[in-house]
Amino acid sequence: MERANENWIGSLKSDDRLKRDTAIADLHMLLLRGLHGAFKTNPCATPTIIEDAAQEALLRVTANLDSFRGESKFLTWAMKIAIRNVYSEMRRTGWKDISLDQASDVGKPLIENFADDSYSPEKLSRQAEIIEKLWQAINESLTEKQKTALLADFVANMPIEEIARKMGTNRNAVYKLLYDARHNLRKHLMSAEITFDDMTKAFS
Amino acid sequence: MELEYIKQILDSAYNIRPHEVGCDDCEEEMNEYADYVLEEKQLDKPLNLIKDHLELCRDCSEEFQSLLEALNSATGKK
Repeated sequence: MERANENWIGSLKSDDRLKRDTAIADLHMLLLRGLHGAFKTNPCATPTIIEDAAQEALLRVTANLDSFRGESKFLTWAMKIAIRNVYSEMRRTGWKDISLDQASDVGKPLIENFADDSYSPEKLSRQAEIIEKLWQAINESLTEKQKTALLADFVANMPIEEIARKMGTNRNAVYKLLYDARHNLRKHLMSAEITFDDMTKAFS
Repeated sequence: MELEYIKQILDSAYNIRPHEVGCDDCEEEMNEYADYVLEEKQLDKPLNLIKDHLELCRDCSEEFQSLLEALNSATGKK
């Protein structure tokens, strides 16, 4: 039977050891079941990563019960923490041997030398024009840091969390960096008279 | 394949919103939004900015999708 929030909090804070241990075991079981279900098709989520993520979430949740504001179900809150742990470890492991420079270098030739012969010559010509303006905008309107983050994110598909880890900052700061980069690109492209409609028509 | 990268960069630039929340705010509200999505729970506050962020941020979006799947698995709904 599903426990109500008050039941979870009361049991996990209880002085009755049996009651507390039962709640901890229940929560651990639910976290594990959830993680196994969510990542069953993801080979990067090894059994060790999943077990460690559930264990760490359990420790964090029980140590921070007072920070639960009750705005969601208790299990949803706890599961969110466990999910973040899994992703954090998968991203760290998966990208540990790839530097930011390597990731952003991947993007440059892909954008500079784009060509796809499935389009008509007219469309290809328009695409080339827009890509040239885009590349110009990337080089002229972005700082080196913005450019690196943009190419690592969009072209190399490096997670923002990893970009942040390698830049020695946090996800929020990288999101803001990318927001400013997108804003600068838009401004530059608009001033080059490339509109959203132009872009949509050329790439549809 | 290269075309997708280019389209994504252009899309993200042209579809920038005047106010976007960051990953911290999204993480803070993600559990509440997950309950809303799974159970059509009544919201006490608008979470449109969270919805927008999930459309724009790949990291937060994959965490959110996994959260929904995990909750369904844990509670035996899937």
